Amino acid sequence: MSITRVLAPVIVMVLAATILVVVVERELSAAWFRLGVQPQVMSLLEKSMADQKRLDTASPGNDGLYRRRYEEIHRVLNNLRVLEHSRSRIVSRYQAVLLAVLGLVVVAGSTTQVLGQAREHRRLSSIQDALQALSGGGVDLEVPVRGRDGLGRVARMVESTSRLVGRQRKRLEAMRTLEQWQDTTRRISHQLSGPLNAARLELSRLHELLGGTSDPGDALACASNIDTQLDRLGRWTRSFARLGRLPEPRLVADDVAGIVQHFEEVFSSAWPGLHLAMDLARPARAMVDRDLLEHLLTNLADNAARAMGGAGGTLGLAVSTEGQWVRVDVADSGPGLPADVVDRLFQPYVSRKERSDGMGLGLAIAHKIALDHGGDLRLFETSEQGTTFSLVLPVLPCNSEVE
Amino acid sequence: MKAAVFAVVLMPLVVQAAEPRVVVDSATGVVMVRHLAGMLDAPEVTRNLDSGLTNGFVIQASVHREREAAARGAARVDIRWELWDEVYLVDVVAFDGHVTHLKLASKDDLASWWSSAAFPVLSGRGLAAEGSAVVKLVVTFVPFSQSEVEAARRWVTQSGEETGSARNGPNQPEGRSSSAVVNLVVATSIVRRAILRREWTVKLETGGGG
Ligand SMILES: Nc1ncnc2c1ncn2[C@@H]1O[C@H](COP(=O)(O)OP(=O)(O)OP(=O)(O)O)[C@@H](O)[C@H]1O
Ligand SMILES: [Mg+2]
Repeated sequence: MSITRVLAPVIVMVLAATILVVVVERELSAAWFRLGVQPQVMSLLEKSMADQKRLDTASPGNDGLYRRRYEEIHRVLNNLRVLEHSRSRIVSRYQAVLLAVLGLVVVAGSTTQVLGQAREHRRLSSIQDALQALSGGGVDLEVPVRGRDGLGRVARMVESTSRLVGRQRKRLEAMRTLEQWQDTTRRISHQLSGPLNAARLELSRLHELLGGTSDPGDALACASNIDTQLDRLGRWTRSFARLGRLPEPRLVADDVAGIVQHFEEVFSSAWPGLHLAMDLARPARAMVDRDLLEHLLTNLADNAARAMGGAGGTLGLAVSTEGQWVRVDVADSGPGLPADVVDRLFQPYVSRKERSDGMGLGLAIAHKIALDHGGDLRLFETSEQGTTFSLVLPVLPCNSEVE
Repeated sequence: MKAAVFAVVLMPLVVQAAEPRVVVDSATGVVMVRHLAGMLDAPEVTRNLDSGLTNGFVIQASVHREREAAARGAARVDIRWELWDEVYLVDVVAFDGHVTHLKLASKDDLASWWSSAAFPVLSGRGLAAEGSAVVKLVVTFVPFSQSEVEAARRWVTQSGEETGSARNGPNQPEGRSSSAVVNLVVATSIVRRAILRREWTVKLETGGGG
């Protein structure tokens, strides 16, 4: 609250009150008082007293009338004379009273002014806070500003807007969840119907084979096909279960570069045809769950290896620290991401592996693990020359040894 | 500074011209103040002498011996010009409450009485016997009496109430209270205050009866 905003009205008030006091005192009170003890009035009264006396001697037998009148005038004159003597005192008292009233008016006025401004200031900042909360995504806000004035109305508007936003957001969330579920069920039914139809066809073929007198080798092949389809179904259900059971990470301080190095050793034996390029900056310590981090790396590297067709190509693993973050880049020299996948990359059940066993859960799981670590997983770049995913994790300062 | 100049230049004149005398009556032991003539000629007094109000002189005396107060007392003189009878009514109230009433027909009579009057301020039996003593004399002049003050206060208050009730009707406290403030201001401002004050320090003399 600025001083001038408070001072200006107070100064105006003081000026107004001073002018009022001066006018009242000088132009009214003093004038009335002068009138009351006018020398002319006093001398007239004196003359009148002398007249009463003369009248009394001139007309005897008036039963003391003039004497009484004389006494009466005398008393009034005496009072006026006493007043006249006290004139300066009365005036200064009167001024003191007026000044006290002035002071009171100014103090009361400026107090209400200051309090009023403080109140307005509080109300304004409440509204400001509420608007900030609203812009920060707050919903169903209560703005502690009462009253029917402009600010009060603005407060009510902010409240109702925040309620509206809340309602809309819930609707939106519900719709999105519903859409996701619709998408998911569509995909799952599509995924499941493939092997199921295949298994059913194989079963009816087996039926025919067993009914006729055909080659038992055909029946065996048929049974093995059924087994393969059921195996695929089994793997899918297991991966569903994995997503459902994804545990909370148990974070311990660890060297991310060390984990990546270990992962590289295991992974290179699984994909012997690949060329692995490492670029590790040490130390790169972070709070991590080693198992989950390896799970994440496996999902990324698997995707990369599959994209590169299993043979040939380079998988790059790089660890660096960037300010507050440890960064792990997983780069491949594959054909890049299909355009329709990019936008929904981390949503579950997004897969382009037509022929196969891709459930479209790998990246969703990896993303979830990264988020659970307080970090993030992003698509860094993708083109026909290759794709790079970047994982970032909050860095742990070198000297802290939380084990 | 001014006071000092006044003291150096004027005091000797004043002392010679109008120094009062304080005398212990060897017979009665009463301390009398005489020669207050200068007081009556002071402009503050002459201006008010014929006002019809009671002009009061308060004479206070404290006797000091070797710088210690030995005794103190006071007397009062009230002078009022009565127009009807054209006389000065004078009351002399002695230290013991004894009042002497006088009627003086003219200003000259008043002046001559005043110059020769002796005002009994305290009973100083034994004071004279013990050698030299000084008297600090303070004379103040008030142009009206306490009862006149009260009459004026009453008058103001009543007139305030009358105008207040006349304006607003008898049952409206607001009008009355607004004038009540003014009345209070006026009424409490009317007080008796000396408009003249003189002080002397004189020797205590011993004199014959009278
Ligand atoms: N490095 C990559 N290069 C090219 N395409 C990729 C790459 N990584 C992922 N993709 C594409 O993104 C899709 C989604 O991958 P995600 O790992 O989520 O599922 P998936 O690999 O199909 O199935 P899952 O991992 O559950 O077995 C893949 O089907 C693939 O089309
Ligand atoms: Mg995958």
